[in-house]
Amino acid sequence: MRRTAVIIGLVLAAVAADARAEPLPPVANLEVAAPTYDSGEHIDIRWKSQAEGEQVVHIVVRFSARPPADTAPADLSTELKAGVKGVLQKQPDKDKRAPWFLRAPGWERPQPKTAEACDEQDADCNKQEREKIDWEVVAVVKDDTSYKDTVPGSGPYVYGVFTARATKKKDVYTNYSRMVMAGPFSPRTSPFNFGRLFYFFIIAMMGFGLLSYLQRAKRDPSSIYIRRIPGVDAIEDAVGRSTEMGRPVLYVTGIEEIQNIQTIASLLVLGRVAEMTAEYDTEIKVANFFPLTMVVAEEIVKQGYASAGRVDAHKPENVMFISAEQFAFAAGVNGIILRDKPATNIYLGRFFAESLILAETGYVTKAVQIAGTAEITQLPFFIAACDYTIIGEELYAVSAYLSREPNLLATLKATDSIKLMIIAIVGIGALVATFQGFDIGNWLIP
Amino acid sequence: MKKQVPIFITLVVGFFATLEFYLPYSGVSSVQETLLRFGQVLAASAFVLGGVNVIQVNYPIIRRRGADWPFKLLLLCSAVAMGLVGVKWHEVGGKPANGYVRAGAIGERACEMPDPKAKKPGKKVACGYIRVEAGREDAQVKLDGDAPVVNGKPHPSAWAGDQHLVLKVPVGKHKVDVSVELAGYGKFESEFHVEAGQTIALNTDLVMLWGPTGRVYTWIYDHVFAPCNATMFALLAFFIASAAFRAFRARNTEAALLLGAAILIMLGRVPFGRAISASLPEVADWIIDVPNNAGRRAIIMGAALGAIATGLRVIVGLERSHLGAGE
Amino acid sequence: MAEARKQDWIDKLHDFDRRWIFLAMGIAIIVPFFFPLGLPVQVSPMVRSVYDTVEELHEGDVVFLSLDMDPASVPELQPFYKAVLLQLKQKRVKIAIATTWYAAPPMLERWIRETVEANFVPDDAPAEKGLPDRDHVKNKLAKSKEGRYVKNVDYVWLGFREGKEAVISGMGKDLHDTFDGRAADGTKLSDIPWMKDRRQLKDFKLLILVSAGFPGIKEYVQQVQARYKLRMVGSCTAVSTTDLTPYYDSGQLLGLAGGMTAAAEYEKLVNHRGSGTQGAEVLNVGHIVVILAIIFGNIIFFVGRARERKRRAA
Repeated sequence: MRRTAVIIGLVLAAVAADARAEPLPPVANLEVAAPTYDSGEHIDIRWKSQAEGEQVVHIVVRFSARPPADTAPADLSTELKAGVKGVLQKQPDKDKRAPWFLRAPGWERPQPKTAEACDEQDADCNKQEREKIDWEVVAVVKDDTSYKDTVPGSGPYVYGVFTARATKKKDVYTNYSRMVMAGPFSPRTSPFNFGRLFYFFIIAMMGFGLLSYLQRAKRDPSSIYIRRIPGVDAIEDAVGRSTEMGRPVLYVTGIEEIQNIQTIASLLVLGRVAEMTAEYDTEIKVANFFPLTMVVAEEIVKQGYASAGRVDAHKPENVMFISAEQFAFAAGVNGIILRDKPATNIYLGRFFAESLILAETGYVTKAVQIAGTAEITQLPFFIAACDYTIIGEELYAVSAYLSREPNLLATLKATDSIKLMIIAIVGIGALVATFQGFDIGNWLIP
Repeated sequence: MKKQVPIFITLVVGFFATLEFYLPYSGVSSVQETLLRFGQVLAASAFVLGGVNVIQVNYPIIRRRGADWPFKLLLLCSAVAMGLVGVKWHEVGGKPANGYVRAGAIGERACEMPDPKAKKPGKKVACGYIRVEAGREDAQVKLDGDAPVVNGKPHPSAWAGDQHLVLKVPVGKHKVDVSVELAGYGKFESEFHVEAGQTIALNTDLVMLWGPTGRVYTWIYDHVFAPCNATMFALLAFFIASAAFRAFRARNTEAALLLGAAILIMLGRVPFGRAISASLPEVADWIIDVPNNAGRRAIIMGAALGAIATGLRVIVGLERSHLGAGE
Repeated sequence: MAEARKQDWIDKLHDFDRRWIFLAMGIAIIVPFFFPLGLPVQVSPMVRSVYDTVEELHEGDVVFLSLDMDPASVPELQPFYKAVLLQLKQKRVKIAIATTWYAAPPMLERWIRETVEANFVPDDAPAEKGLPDRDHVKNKLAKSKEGRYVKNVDYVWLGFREGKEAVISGMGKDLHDTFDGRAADGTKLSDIPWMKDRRQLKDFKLLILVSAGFPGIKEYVQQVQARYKLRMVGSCTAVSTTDLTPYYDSGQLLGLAGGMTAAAEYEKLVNHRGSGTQGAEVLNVGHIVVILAIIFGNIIFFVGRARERKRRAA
């Protein structure tokens, strides 16, 4: 009885082992393609999985040339993961084979060469070199049926995909399926990222609009009409008020780095405000968050004073670097406000939580406060606490508005015409989406 | 020339940066990355200028005893102090050791202990001793990654009362870490082999660290910087109340709408609002999700277009106020 | 005489010193600390989504926790951090912690000592008991169960890297490269078994982002979420909630806890009464003070306007 049980147990174990070793079904519909709008460094590999189970993985191997169809894993105890490499080479002498991951009958790992390189006259050696195939495991993919491979060169490459089952040992797999191959395929560089065509279109339209309004401005400068922006008009009045009261103007350029467009817009306005203060013979103090912004601001203020012919009146120590720490900056600017009591506070740029702290402190000193930012979360605080608020895109229009140069005003008109175009697209898109169920957004920006 | 050269550089670099967004070539993006790195290097070097500027602005006021000069002096002294504290002084002249190991003779002192790996009690194994001679009262010790067990309880302290801690360990390789809980002190780590009857003495003198992870820097951060930072942010609570008191007045229709929306949203967020009406939270959410979102998106879109226009103006050289207005 | 006195009263109202409002706000903030009101906390769907997403994790899963904040935002964000950490510890999930804010590391290192490495457990956890003097492995497990995490075994502190969005994008491409292959204490990431093969953000089961501003959740969504299809949940300051809610609506964020109120809701879910619950009560009372200040301001305005009209009519 006991013997029978042992035999049955052994048979069952053998059957189970046999079932475990049974190869999984291979992948289907294996495709390789160049990713859309790629830089020529990637290849997309996609397939359909025919095996199910939590432990199922797909092993993607890249070959430098098409290997034999019966290429298969040789040593199942080898640890396998992305980056494992090898070479297949046709060997006449099968006795010199050594176990490694991939093997094809007649194609074994090459023996180490003692000679440095093949002699040109040695036809056999050259033939062996030509018949070498480099392979590399590029990915072991779980829960997915695609992979984007970053290729080392210009190709062409052949891809093979195995299905396998993970074992308890890390990076060791079993039940390898037959390898399915696709290729050879070379990566392709797209000449242009057509997925971003709509953005290019916007920029191009902006450029055309600019040229068109520039022509119009040259012909008839008075035809370029811009509505009043009360906050910007108030700047000159406020500077005048500062002159009358004998108190300085405080200008804060925001708390972002100079490469931020809001900081750039603020610095453009600073040039004009500095020229204004020079003409009115009023002191201007500029508080900066980053040293590089301070360096640029100092130069701008100097140029502004120079343009007004008042280089002698410029005080470099009035353009200050306060601190690159948010609340230390706020504390420093508050100190300037409470000590020097500027009659006008101008906050233009990108601000965060310190916006209300600055504005409320300015209110205490009864200063006229003009704020401008495109930072949505801070606009409510400025609107509540400041006398004038320049909202969003108005910040970018201030410099052109103050200059009253037709060329610069033309850019504002161009922006407005693009805005009208976008409003039309949004309106049409909303109607099409509502009545036709077609999402125009996905079509414009894939 | 003084204006033409910067405008030309701006034009070339600006166009390149714009085109890089549309051209997928890897060579183009690597040039762009290099240019961005140039910018980062410039920004970093400007911090030196910033430091000089702080001295330039504040020192003359201190010298002539201008308004609030003690605060300027405090500013400069604090800046210098933090600069000095940030230097790793403890590594000047070489990295210091936090202690050393003294191995006694093998078999010097007889030792036997219950086998920790044995499943059944009674089996004894040869052992040795580890004596921790900590330099600080608050030193903590770990044996093989964990607090050593003394009399059946974990004993993380390096002291046994007022005596140095002596541990009985089985013969073999052991790792001992001696540290303090306070941040900013060095750590003593040692791995050694203990023989039967041998005493390994660990003499530790944990070095006080300097630099950004040092004791003084951490203390200043925890006791000065963090409270000051939090205090400034806390001012907002009061300023919001006073700004709301001042600004939310129904002067006209728009202001009345703003006032109404603000009250509805605030009530919708507190349990009192829910007590007044179960629909208040839903009304508040609707105001935020629908009209507020619509306005936000319009401002974002407009600001984005304005940013493009400003960028184009600067790149093509139309905007020259930063170079000095007029020719 | 009565009319003159009334005018003085109106004039006084007009010159109302805002420091009285500061005082009222101060009292409204301090009193609930000493006399808790016990106001009910109702869990919102967005916060519930965060909790449910974290609840789906299993023992041994690895999450990436990005703490992008400074000391100023501690009251709003630390309660959520502690609550989610409790949840992660209960699930015995491994954690990789990093930050993109330069002012954060000293504070975060202290938090790690006090909450990750220390015995930090929920309110209803059993008290620490004496441990057996044999069986070292059981000792360690028991300690883990009681809330202590071991450095480079249960968690890794990667530290800070400068670069803002570039760092986030870099972590998406190659995390090891971004941190030069080492944790903040110099340990090689390849020596930590569960970090060895986690080279990209997409290799983590979940990203938990606690952010006070820029760079933060928005930059993670813009730089890496769509590109690598990452699973992310986040906590932000109250003022950023409206900005980030569209990402939750679009599914790019699986959950969002905005502000101290949301932190209080989360504390309720993990059964831990912390500073978030306490702070939410203070917040509620503070809101009432603001509403009263608005009403009072309008009373002053309308009374003053009525008087002006009377004067003009007269």
